[in-house]
Amino acid sequence: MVTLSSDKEAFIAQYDQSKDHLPGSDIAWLAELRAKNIALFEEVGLPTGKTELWKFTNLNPLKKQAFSPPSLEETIFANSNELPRLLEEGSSHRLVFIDGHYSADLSDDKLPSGVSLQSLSSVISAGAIGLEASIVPRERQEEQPLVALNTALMSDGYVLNISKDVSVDRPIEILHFGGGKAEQSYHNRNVISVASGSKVTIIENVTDRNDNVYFSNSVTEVSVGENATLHHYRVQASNKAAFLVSSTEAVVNKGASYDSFLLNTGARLSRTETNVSLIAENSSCHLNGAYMGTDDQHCDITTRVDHKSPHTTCDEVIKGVLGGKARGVFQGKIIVHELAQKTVGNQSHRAMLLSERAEVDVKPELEIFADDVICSHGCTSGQIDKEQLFYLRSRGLSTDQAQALLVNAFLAEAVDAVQNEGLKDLLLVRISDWLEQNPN
Amino acid sequence: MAATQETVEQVQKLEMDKYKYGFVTDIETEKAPKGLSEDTVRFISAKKNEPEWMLEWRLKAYRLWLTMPEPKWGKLDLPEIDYQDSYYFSSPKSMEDRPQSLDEVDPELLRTYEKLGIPIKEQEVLAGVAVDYVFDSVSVATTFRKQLLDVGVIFCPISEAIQDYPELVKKYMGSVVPQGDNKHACLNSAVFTDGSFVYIPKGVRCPMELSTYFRINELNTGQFERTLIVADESSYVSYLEGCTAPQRDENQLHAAVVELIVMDDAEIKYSTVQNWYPGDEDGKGGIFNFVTKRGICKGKNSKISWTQVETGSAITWKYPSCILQGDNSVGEFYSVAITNGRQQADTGTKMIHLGKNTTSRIISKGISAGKSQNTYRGLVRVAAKADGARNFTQCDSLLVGQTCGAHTVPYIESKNRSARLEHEATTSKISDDQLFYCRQRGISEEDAVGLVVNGFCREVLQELPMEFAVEAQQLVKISLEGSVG
Repeated sequence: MVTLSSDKEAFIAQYDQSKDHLPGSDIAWLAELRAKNIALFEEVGLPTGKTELWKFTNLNPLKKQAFSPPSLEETIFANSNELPRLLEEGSSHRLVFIDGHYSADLSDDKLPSGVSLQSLSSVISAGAIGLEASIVPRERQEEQPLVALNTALMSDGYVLNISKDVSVDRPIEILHFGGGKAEQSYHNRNVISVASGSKVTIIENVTDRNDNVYFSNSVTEVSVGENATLHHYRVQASNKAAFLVSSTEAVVNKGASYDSFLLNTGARLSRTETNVSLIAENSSCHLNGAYMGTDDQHCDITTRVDHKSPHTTCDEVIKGVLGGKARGVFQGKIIVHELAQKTVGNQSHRAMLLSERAEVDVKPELEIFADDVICSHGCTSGQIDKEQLFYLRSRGLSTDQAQALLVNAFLAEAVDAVQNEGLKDLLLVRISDWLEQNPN
Repeated sequence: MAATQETVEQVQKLEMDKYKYGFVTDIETEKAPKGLSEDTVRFISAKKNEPEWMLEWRLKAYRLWLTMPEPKWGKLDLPEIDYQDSYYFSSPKSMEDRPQSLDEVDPELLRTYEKLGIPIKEQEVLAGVAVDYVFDSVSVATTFRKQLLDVGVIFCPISEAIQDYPELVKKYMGSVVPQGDNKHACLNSAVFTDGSFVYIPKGVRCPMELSTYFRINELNTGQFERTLIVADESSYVSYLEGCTAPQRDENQLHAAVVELIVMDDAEIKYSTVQNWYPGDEDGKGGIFNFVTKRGICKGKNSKISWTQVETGSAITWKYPSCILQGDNSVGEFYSVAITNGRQQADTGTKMIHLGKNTTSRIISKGISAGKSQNTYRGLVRVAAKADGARNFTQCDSLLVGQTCGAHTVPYIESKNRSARLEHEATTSKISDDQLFYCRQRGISEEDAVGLVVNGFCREVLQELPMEFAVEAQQLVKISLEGSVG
């Protein structure tokens, strides 16, 4: 196994070495797509502080690490019960990815009718039928070199199709279990396609089994059909050495809704990017989230919503709590295109700094080209209210208890947006646990 | 026939009204050769009879300028600027020997001011405003200077300050906006021709509002003003700056620099009304307004307040900023930016909190109409040591018509947990209810829009000194003419 330091050249070398073994190397269009994307990545390079979209997130700690491609040898788990799960057994359909590879043995084999799930590698080895349309180059691809890198190196992921008018009874839980070997990088590519009139909840759980450093660079393409609803929740609770970069691009059709929530507590450096295009009337999206950071963690949440059609709505509520030397970043862009009259777009980001050395950087952006719109954004940053703290202290709570209570209440408001009750409770527990472990 | 004739006259009148201040006064001027080179810089310096150190400073800036890139981050559709196609110095010829009183001033000049609606003699009497007129590049007359000197206030053209107060100029010029800050400020450092210098000594409250009227007159002359205001301990000054420019076809470059320095317990209030030629309906002509304005609150309890009403220019690129270095210092930014036709504005502020318990307040109102683009771009940065820093930001945008754009790009960076930062922004259009209410009461649609927009801007307009407030309200209304119906 060749180990490489992960500056731009290293990734390119990794591509050169593995291009003949990557899935689909015999499929002409795919090989060509990979070649095109590595060329684009070579041209643009890894984002630096000079890249406007990466102004606040510096990838230098990533560059200091050396990463190798994921090994193909499978880690053996006796049974799926050894693996963490978010929802109780029986209340979700679970799929399992170990170190970036789909594990059929550990995943639930029975999926409800109307749900089709395949791993990316199996789709590709079956001829990659229908895949070409799902991984079309994005608009502004030159701004997303890590998506290009993913396209060049993608080896696995999931392709999920929900048929027309299907209401999936239980949430689909997807476990991304990493850290099997130190210093590996995974480039997963996922495709979620919800046909018109359907309803589904997907919960992604990003975690690992030890403190190994790894780099996960995942890309997800989402399409939500007419009048369909997708709840897309993501819990990132990896170890504090991991690098998690993900980019989700969602296209929302007429009357459809894309509802997402992110809870981030993990990673040395995380960057969660969500781009949503509201392309037809009455489409809507919710991009909510909560993040907690401590030590030298860096958490970046970047969103972009394109209102391309009249009568579209977006709502964003994101809250963050930072202790230690942690740094939080929120960049949210709302673009109302010329035709998108009667748009409603609201966004709010609130951060609480618990320690002296924590830092938060925020860039909410409105770009508006239509006149009949109501758009707003609000941002606040501050510390715990001394009055509130005093009130609780005067009633006999210790400072730590009082602080935990207040932070809990602060974050709970954001979690309220989660529709799944089971998950909501779990997230609240996660928040309490985090506060217990990190008395700042 | 008579009726037709009347109509023609009316239409002509309307055309004139659109840009009331668009005319060119015919005065012989003395120009530097077209284009920019070391020789141009030397020419300007020689013309101004400048000491050696000033020339050196200019040349240093010029050499730096050659190496600097054009700032591209604004949301502006900016044509390539041909720096060689512009004149960098011109002064009315009859000014070689400075007149000692108004009687000696070229009567043509005086008439120009009259057309602008500011009869100089009346102003002398009125409200005690001392006006430092800048006609193209040389200050024509400075009034009330003697009265100001009696209380120790220095208010003079910067070219005179270089001769008379070299120590002060040496100490402060470039200390807030360094030569290499950005390409436009650097160009100004090399070729600035005139501007104002103000020094308020310790404990003095400036007895009157200080004011400069800038005016671009000569075709193809870039304006490179440089203003430096120093407020020493416990002093106060209110400074007014207003601009109008004649109508013309070629784009004109304007790169001004304003530096404010405020010591302990002192305060500077800086107000601007900018109404330069915005170009015609197709976006032809108009001023390029690239301004670097920055103030530093050096001392404890010091305060800087920027107020601006921006209605003119084809392109506005302007970010009046405050560096809040002294503990308990205060920075304020009140702005109204109106764009119509094909105007583009990218304006906002920076509040850099360095000292403890520093507070800042940003109120920005952007109004876009026609085919214009209006961007608020701001930064609030709290350094790690700025305990108890406080910022409140509100930026509201109003859209009039379907073909304009309003954008908000705030950056908020906090490195201190005790800092309390709030930012809110909204975008909306004039509601039909509001218009209906006014129309119902017999107010014409155009007047109704003017009324609503004036209400929208009220928070900012009321910050302006009396002299400006009335003019600004008129300006807000005039700027939106032709944007409805």
